[in-house]
Amino acid sequence: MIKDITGRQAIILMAIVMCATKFFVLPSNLLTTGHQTVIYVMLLFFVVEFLLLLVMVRVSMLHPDKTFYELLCDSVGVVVAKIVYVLFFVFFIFKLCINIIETYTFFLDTLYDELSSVLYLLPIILLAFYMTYIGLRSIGRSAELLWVFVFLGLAVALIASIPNADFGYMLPIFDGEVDNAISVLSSNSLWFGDYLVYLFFFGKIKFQKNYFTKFAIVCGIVMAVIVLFMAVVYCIFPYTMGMIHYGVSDITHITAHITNIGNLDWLNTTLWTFASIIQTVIFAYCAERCLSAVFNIKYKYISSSISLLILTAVLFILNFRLTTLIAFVQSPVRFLLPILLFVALNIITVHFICRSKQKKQNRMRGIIYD
Amino acid sequence: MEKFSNKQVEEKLKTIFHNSTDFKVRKFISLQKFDTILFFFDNIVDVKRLDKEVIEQLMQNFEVDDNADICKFAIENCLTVGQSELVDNFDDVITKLLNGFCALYFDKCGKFIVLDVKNFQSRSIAEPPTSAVLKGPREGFNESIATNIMLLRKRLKNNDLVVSQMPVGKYSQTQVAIVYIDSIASPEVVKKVKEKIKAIDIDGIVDSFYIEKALEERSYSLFQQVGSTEKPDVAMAKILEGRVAIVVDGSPMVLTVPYLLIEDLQNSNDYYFARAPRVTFLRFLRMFGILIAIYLPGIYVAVQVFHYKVLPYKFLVTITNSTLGIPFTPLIEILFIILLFEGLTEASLRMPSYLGLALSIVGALILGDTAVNAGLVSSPAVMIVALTGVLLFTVPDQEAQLSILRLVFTLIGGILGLYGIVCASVFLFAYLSNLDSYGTPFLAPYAPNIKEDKKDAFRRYDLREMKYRPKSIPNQNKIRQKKL
Repeated sequence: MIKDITGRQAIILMAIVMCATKFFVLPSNLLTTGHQTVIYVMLLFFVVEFLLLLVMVRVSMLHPDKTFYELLCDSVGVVVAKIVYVLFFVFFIFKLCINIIETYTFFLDTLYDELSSVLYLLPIILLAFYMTYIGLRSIGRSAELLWVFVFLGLAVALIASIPNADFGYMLPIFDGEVDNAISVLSSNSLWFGDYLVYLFFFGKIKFQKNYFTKFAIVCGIVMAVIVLFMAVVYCIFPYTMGMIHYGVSDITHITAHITNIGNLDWLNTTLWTFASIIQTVIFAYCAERCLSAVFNIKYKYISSSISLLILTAVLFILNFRLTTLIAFVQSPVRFLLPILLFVALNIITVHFICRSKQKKQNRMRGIIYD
Repeated sequence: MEKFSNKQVEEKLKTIFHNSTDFKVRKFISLQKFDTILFFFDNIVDVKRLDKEVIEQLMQNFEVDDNADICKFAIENCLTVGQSELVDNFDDVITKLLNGFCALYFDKCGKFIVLDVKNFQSRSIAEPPTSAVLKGPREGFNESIATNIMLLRKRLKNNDLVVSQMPVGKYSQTQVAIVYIDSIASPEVVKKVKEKIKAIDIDGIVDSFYIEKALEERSYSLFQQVGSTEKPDVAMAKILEGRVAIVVDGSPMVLTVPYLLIEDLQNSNDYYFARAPRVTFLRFLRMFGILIAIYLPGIYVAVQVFHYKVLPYKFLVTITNSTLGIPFTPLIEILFIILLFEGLTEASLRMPSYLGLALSIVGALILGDTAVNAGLVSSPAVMIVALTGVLLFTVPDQEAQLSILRLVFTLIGGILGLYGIVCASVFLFAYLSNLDSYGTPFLAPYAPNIKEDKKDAFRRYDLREMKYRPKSIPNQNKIRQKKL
């Protein structure tokens, strides 16, 4: 099997995907009603997510030449594998909707007086089509170049804002609103679960020395940074969270006013857009892979076009309104995706590990394993 | 070949060359008894050598056995020309004659003796105008393939240096030489280059650019995928890294493959006099220059049209004051100045040099100043285009591509603002990272990341640190040096 990306590229892609859209409206969504407690609950949630991700990495290393779809087919049969991939497709279309609408409203509110949704959608759809068509190799290489901008954007945001944060607002750790925090978190569940993207890198990574350790360290840092960012946003605006719309620009904006050096947030906003675009492209790639696997589509341009057409249709149905999407996500449907994707898939992952161990033991006993 | 008479051979060759007036025939009696005929093209052979080393020698009085092979005898005993061979078919004789050889035929012999007496005039070896150095070798290639190969052989005195020459072009029969070090270059790359050159079916090769287009894996791409140099020292360094050089007769530009984008940031001066930290600084400066040259007009237009709020107040006031009363929109204004600038550049390249000074005065001073005073364009716009115009030349080899990109980013900035510029940048990066040159990623050593190769990329390490040949370039011999 052709190895499309290096271990380093996989790590960079995961790092970008995991944090890209968590800095726009998510801080406001979570912290307005969840307060500081939601940050601690999120931290615990991240620990679980982190462990599950590491399990996935281990599985991918145990089966370096098989895609996740092939593993699923081997393990649970083609029909179940296709059903799982249909769910994945729905999941990634929603993720793409969140990503595109969020970035659109973000741009509209921070940098533009007016911006046509069609004019906004056209370049990103064309870009997603082109990049999914040329494949993961180029996406990985592009991310390897662009991560510098993403890192710079985040660094600017944090360095400029940390001095203004009073971390005393992070106490008490749990103020008796844990139930509320969990409810807030589950209402925004579509903003999480980005780590599932890794499943689509199975069989395509050229593993390098100490890959697992490096992966664990980088992803651990990324999750820590997300938590830190949330904490900084909350500690700068503890009483006015309801007025904060976009964490990543607002914290820089307020700092820039203080230091009187002009509106520095545009630089940060622009740099952070790179992360958002890479995430969009990766989700589009995953959606295309799902469609290709479910319907056995050989030509990438066909599966890519169809998935992007579906995305465009959904975006127009939602009328580019994040509130419509959030309302949908907050309906009882919200439990469906977490259950299917977070729990079921990880049971399958554990199954793979058990199967692999069994294989190893059988080999040691001299049994030929099919 | 049949044993034709001299008359028959003369008629046949004259017919083949359509009685061309520069096709000369000289008849004489050699060794006092053999009717001999000599064919050559005037102007491309050294007539003095022809007289002295061929005719004069054959007119001497040698004792020859009647049954002896006269051709063999002449080569072994009479002719003093260094390179001679026997040819027994007309096709080869024609090729040789056209390449500056003379052909000798003894009556009813059935074989030609072809002798290398060519004398193609060429420019002397001089410093190339496109890549001058402050300190370091000043020799440059010229239009003669023989001279260019000599310049490479002079620097690489090794039995592993291979020169593989072949004619290309139906009418021009231009000699194209593939030069590489057999123990370093990748056989796959050499094979691929040879195949691509052999596959060329064209009337003539006017310049190495014709070969470049055939060597490129994506010939419609905006970006060049084949390196070119006019300096033998640069070509030598590239050959030593495992690249393959292609020398084309009639062109001073020697091509090299595989090619990386980062090569354009490197300059001969970086290796000859500047210390490593200084080189690192210069390379970052070049990169910065490229970024400013491509993005600045686009960002300026985007900020003016869409994002004026992001500017600090004083800066905004300055720009607003200077653009007050300008009849064009910011996009049209900057496009107008860019096109004006491009027009002046194009005209200055084609204009006789004695008019160059006048043009620069008319262009830069009168047109620019008058346009601003007339209120057609604003001063910041002129300044931005002039600045980017100069910065495009921080990497002269990519100037053409960069100026196109500048135009594209300006248009996108004017239509979509910063969001469009970011999207276009990601597209550009994706496109570049999808380019490969003979198995080498175009953006190596950064995408994919190759740690060892970064020692001579944006940051240049000391020569002692560069122990290995670039990993990104396929080669057979990894180690460049043990210890300096």
